[in-house]
Amino acid sequence: MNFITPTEYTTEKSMAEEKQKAFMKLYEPVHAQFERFCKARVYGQLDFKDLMHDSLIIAFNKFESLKEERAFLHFLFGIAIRILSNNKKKKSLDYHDNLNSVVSSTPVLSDTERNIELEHLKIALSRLPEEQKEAILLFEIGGFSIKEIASLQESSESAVKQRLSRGRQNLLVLLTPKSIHS
Amino acid sequence: MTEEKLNALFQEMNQEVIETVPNDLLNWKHMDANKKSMHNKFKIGLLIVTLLVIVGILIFSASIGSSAMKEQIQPKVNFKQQENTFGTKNIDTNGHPKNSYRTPVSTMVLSFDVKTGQQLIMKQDSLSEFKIGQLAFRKLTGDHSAILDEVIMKSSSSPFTLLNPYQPKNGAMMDSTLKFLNALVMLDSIKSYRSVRQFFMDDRTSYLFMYDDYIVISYRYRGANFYRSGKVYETGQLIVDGKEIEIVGFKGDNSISPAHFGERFYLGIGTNEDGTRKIIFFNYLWAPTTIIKGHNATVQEKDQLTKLSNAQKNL
Repeated sequence: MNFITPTEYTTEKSMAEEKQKAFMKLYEPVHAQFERFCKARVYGQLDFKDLMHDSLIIAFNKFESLKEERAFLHFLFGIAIRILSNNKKKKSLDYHDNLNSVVSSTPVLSDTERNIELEHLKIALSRLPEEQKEAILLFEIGGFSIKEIASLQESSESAVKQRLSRGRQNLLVLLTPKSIHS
Repeated sequence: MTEEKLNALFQEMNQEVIETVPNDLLNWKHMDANKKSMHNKFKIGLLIVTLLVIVGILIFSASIGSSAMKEQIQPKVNFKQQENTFGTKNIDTNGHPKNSYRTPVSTMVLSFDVKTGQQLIMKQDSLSEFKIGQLAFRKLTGDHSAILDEVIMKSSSSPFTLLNPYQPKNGAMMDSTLKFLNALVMLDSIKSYRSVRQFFMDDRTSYLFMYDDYIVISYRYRGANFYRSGKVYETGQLIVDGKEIEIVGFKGDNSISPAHFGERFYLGIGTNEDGTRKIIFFNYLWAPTTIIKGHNATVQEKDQLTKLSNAQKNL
């Protein structure tokens, strides 16, 4: 059995620390953006912290494969999307059936009108088809261009445009006061 | 809801207060510098264990397949092999034709004194020197009674005794006297009790042998082997067709095959008008089902059995 020497251990440890620093340098600026995306993306389905944690662990492990620092946001969101896609294939849960129970158990943290409206927006987003919701969140929160979204969703630009358009229309319909809890 | 309002909501969402801290999410403790090496050690260990298991399975399967292991598992007597050795020559050392399972011949071959022409019937008393271990083709285990009795005692008290009950005694008078000690009867033909059609035995080593309190019946006809042996535990008398015959009850042992181990078996042994022997099998209610006709063994037949037995020992 080969044991590593203290020198090797120190070297590997320092390398890991360097990698950690480099990762955090890229991640910290997009942390808030990423959390908002995850929160809205899995609203009513699962804990957004789980999605963030899984995505970050994978991103860190594959950090060496990142060629350009500019592409980090694309890299991170792509991982999160793939995780959700794999989960959907495995579980194929009908989230909308469970939505009412999730919504009813979700605490409203703030009683201000603005926060209530944001909650309504998240509920409405959760009722959209997965691809529409994802496209809207990537566009509105992630700040990606249509071309980048097409790349992330592995579809054409026209399809992304259509998703964005129909998604917004659906949101407008859903966000009327009567239809939220119907 | 208007488009402007929706855009405003998205803008507000982008300014929403965040709840998490990057360091908490990433859980840096997983990034120990030694993790990789530990992972490799685990992989190597798993590989070694897998290889050892595969090698163990291969060795075990090879040992099972070996002939030495087969002998330990399976009964040592193989009827087919014995027959093949038996049929190698058509004439034995005494000049008499040997039987073969392919060319069955009548077993009613009697011994005659060349000078006087008198039929040589073996004296049944002389069987005392004919040990169980010398029986042709059949290798018997010697010390069986103590273990066998113990097993039978256990099995008799188990619920499975219902499947193997004692033969009802109301049709037969049973006592403890053994009247057919030391008898060697060569079996000639077999027939169903209610049929006239009879079949000759396939070879000349079909016999009924009683030695003290141990009984062996072994025959082969129409390609089927029949063999039972066991310790006699009771005898009795029964009237069949107006004649009294002796009944011997014995329990099957596992000297050759465990197929009938512990099974109780009754044989009726009578004498025909021409002096030949008849062995009768009964069904559960003491109705005769099968009759085997045989004759007392001649000196030559006894010798032949002994020689074949010795030949078998040398295999």
